[in-house]
Amino acid sequence: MEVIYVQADRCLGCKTCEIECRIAHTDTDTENTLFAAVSQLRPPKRRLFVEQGEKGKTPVICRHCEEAPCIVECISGSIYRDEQGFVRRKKERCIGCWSCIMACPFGVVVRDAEAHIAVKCDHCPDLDTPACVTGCPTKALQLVDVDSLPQERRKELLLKKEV
Amino acid sequence: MQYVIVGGSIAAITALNVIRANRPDAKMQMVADEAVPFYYRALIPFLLDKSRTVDEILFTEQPTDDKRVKFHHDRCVGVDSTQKVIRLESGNPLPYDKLLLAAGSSSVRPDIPGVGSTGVYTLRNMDEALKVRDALEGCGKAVVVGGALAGIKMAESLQRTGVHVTVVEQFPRILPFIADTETAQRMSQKLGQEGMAIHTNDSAAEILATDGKATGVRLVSGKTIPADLVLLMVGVRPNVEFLAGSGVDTDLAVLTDQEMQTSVPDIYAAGDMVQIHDAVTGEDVISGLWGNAVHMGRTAGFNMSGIKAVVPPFLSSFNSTEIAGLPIISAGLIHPQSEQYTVYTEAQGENYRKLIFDKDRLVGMIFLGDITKAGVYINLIRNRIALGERKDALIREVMSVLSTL
Repeated sequence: MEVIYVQADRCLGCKTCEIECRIAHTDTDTENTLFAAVSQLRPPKRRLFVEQGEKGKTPVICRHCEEAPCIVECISGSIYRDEQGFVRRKKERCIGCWSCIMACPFGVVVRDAEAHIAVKCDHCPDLDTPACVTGCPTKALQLVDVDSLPQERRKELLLKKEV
Repeated sequence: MQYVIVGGSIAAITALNVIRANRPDAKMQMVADEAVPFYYRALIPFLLDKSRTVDEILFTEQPTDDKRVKFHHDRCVGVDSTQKVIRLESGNPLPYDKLLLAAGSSSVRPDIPGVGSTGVYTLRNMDEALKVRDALEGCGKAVVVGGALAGIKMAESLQRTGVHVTVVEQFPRILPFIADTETAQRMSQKLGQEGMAIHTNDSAAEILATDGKATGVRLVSGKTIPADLVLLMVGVRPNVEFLAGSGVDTDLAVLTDQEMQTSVPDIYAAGDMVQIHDAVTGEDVISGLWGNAVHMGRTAGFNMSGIKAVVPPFLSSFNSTEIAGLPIISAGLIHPQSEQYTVYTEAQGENYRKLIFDKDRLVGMIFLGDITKAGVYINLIRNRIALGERKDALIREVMSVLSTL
């Protein structure tokens, strides 16, 4: 399974990921562009957040948790796990009770007050690579295979020690 | 292995799904006394105003889709734990190897004069909801007795159908278990602007009726409120009567260990008929919360499948909703009674935030209006995280959001 891997030390806080996220989630019949996104009556919400961490800026994004608290607390059958293992939300089932916002310990589910639905990362199911990853200019966000991750981390640590 | 599950809502279904996934050899029988089980109970208010159909509030995946699951539309009336059988109302005994009790709770029907009149309903399940929906045809005025969360949600739904609604709450404020005085006042005001009448510090003394049909409610204060329809939303009690003589220990509700096993081996319990221990207040309570029922059902399901699991720390107060267009999330100890606790509040327009600390531990919170990142802070409450020097930064972080709105 490929997941979004965040390397906070590579993040410059440029927020390109947030913009790409919003563009990708623009509800339009034409091509999703920045122009289309900002032209919406209700511009799309971002689903990841560049925040100030202890050492610097870092993107905060849904972990698609194994035992996802948002799925546990969803009282309407809206939040579910898809075939790929990602935690998604069925729009038509959401009642805007915000139980998922109450549940998420990472604070990455947000309220779309106008549409009266909860909004969260869907891992861009229609794209090969999620928009935030494609857009990140410093590779702070990468799509990696979960199984190969420990190997890469070991390599990284070894290289760091040599410096 | 013969699994029997008494109940048809989320605790039962969660346990069933865990057993299905972990025991390919399992034979599963479910017993529930509702004609249409397996629906999302919290969506009942959307049936009343017809914003959703029955189909639209059913579980998307029905337990009976699995051919290993046999469903009995019946009521469990007794448990014989020495013979390992349960007795059903229809008369048939049902043998079990492992039994899950997840029969939930039922509405309390206050014993007041006139309560048996036509037009008076309790409202907790689908059958009742459909009856009330039919009764709403030609209904002009309704009284909802009980202004806690369920009562207010039903009242809002009735109001959306054009009915004039009056809510009666015996506490000095509505939403007594999820709101403090400030929040409740703000909510009452919003509901009032939408045309809802609210009487607090009062309760129903008598249902007035003509020819056996409800015409209004006389309150303890002496006021009389005319009504074609009366909803009794004064609370629930766990369905534990059928356990008499079973050997399953109960106090406020069924007692279990951390693995959700009752005092009797091979009998487990989950959901609203179970007594839990609140990790923050230290009180023994009946939870009545969806998420806790999921955790209990899951834990019971694993242990019944032979995989050891324990429940996470429980919060008995842990709620999120939107009322009169205003979101509210509250958790933990929201009515601190002692000077041991420090309380911080901040308000900005419609937004209000409150944090309650026990020294450097966050023990309670209320977010009204802006609910961003509420879960982050609730997680600190649930896991009783000692914040140390980070406490001040946390307060700044929570409160400063309001000044930037």
